[in-house]
Amino acid sequence: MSDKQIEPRSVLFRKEREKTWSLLEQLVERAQKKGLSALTQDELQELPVLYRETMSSLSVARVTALDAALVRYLEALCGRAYLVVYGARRPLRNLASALFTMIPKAIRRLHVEFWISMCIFLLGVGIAWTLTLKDPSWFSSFVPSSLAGDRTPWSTTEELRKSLYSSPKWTEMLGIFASHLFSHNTSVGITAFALGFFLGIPTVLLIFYNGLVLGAFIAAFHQHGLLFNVLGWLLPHGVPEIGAIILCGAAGLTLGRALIFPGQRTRVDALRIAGPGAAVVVGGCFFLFFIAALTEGFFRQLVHNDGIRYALAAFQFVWLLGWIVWSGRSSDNEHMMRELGGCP
Amino acid sequence: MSQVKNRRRPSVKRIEIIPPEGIPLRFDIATVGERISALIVDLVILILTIVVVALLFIWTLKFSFSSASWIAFNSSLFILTLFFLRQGYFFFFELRWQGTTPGKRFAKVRVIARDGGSLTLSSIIARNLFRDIELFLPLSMLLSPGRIHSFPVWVSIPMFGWLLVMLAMPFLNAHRLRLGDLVGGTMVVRLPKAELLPDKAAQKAHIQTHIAFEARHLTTYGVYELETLASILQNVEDGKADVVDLRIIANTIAHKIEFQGSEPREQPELFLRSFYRQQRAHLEKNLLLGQHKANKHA
Repeated sequence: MSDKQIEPRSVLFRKEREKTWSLLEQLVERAQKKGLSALTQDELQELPVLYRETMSSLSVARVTALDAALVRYLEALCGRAYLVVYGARRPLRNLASALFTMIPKAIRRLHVEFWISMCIFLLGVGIAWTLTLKDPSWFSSFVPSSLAGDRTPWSTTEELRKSLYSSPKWTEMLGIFASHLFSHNTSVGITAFALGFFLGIPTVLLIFYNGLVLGAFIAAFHQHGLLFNVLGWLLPHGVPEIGAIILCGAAGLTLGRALIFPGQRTRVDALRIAGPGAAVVVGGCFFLFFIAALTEGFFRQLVHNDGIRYALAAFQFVWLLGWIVWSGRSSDNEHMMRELGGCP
Repeated sequence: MSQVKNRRRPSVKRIEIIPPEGIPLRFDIATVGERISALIVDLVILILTIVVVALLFIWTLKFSFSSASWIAFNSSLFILTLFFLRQGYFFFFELRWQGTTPGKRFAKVRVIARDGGSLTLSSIIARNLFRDIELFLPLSMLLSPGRIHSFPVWVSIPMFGWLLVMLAMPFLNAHRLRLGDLVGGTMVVRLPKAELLPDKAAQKAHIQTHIAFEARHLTTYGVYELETLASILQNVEDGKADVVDLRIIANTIAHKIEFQGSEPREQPELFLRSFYRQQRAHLEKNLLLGQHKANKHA
C-alpha cells in the first residue's frame, strides 16, 4: 500500500479547502472586532462567497469526515460567519423612511386591535361622563386628587375657567414640564404595550382607566358650562397623546390576542410574529408623545385663544389621520413584511 | 481508554438554527450567568454615564450668569438625556454592534433571530421595550420599596406575581428566553470559538516511516473508538500524554486487532498515529459506501 492511497479522504478534502476557511476566518475576525466597515469593498464582496463555500464544506464534512475536531472547527467558523453575514442589517436608510413608511404600515396592520382599543377607551369616557354628571361624587373615584388639583366639580366656574386660561408663573419651567410629560407618558405607553403579555388584561384596564379619567374630567367642566373651553384646552395635545395611548393599547392587545387565539401556530410562534410589528407601533408612539408633550408643555400654557386652540387640534387630527391612513402605501416590499414579523 | 474525559461540557444547551443556506448551524445557548454578567457590565456603564451627565448638569448650574431660564433649559435637557439613556442604550448598541452591547461583548454572547434570519430592527425594538418593565421597573421598585405600598392590594399582588414570573422566565424555558426575547423572536447565544487544530491524520514531515496495517486489522473498531484515539493524540500534541500510558493503549489495541509485531512496545506513538490514519481512511471509505460503523459493538 502506498502512502498516497491510505491518506484519509478528509485529509485531502481539508488540504483542498483550508485556504478558503482561513481567508474567511480572517475576514470574520476583523468584522467582529471592528465592524463590517473595517472591510474593504472587495472583501465585502468576497465575504458571502467564502461563507457559502465554507457552509458547503461543513455540510460535506458532517457526513463524510470522521474528524470531530475538523467538524467542530467548521461549525464554529460557519456560526461566526453566519452572525457577521446575517447580523443586524439596517433596513432603513434613514429616520424618514421609518417615520413615513414602516411605522404607518405597522399601525395599519393593527386596525382590528386599534378599534377595540378605541372602543374600550370611549367606553371608559362614556361611563365616567354619565356617572359624574349624575352624581359628582363619582369624580373623586375616577380622578386621583393629585391629578385633579383644584379642578373638581365642586370648584367654582371661575376657578375652572382660570385653570384653562391662566398664564404660567414661570415660563422658564415649561421645558421641564414638557420633558417630564414626555418621559412619563412614554413609560405609560410602554407599560400598556408590555403588560399585554398578560393576556391583554392589564392593557384593557389601563386604557379603560385612562378613558375614565378623561370622561370624569370633562364632565366636571361640562357641569359648569365649560365643555367647549375644556375641549379647546385638551384637544391640541390630546389628539396625539390619546391617539398614542390607544395605539400602545392596540399593540398590547395584539400580544394578548396572539396568546389567546394563536390560530394554527404555537403560542410562541404567534407571539414572535405579532411582537415586532407591535413594537414598531410603540416606537412610533414615542414620536407622537413627543409632539404631544411639546404642545402640552408650551402651546397650551401660552396660547389662550379658543379659535387657535381648535385650529391646532384640527391640524393635529388631519395630519395624524393622513399619516396613519395614507403614508407609505406605495412602497410594499417583502423586506418590510419580514421586518414587521411576516404575514399576520 | 474509558478514562479519557470528554472535553465538551454536557451541561451546555445547544440550539439548531436553519440559516437561509439550509445547512443547520448549532449554537450554544448563553447561560443565565453569562447574561447576568453582561447585564451587570452594561448597567455599570449606564450608571457611570448617568453620574457623569448629572455631574455635568450640576457643573452648569455653577456659572455666575446662571439665570432661571438657563437652569430650566439644562434641567429639561437632563430629563431628556436620562430618558434617552434608559430607553436607548441597549437599543443603540444592539442595532449598531450587530446584536451586542459592551456587556455582551465582555461576556462573549450575542443576540440572534430565532428563525435563523437576520436580526431585524423591529425585533431589537421589541426586546428592548420589554426591558423597561422587565428590568428598570423592578429596579426602581427595589430602590424605593415604598412605591409598592402606595398601590391597592389588588394591584400590588398581581404586580408582585408579574415580577416573579418575569425574573423566573429565563430559568423556565429551554432556550432561556426572557419576555423580550419571546416577543421579539430573538435569543442570546454564545459567540462560537473556532480554532483549526492540525490534522492528526495528515502526513508529518518529521515522521519518516509508518506501519502498514492489513485490511483485517481495520475491521474491529468504529467511529467512537476512532474519536477517542483522536483525543489521545491531541493530548500527545499538547504534551500532556505519558509514554507509559501510550504503550498500554498501543498494546491493548494491538491485542484487540490481533496485530503481531514489536512496534506497539517500541514506538507506541508511531503505532497509534499510523493506526489512526489508516483506520480513519478505512472508515471514511466505508462511509462513502454507506457503511457506518458507530463503535466496536456495531
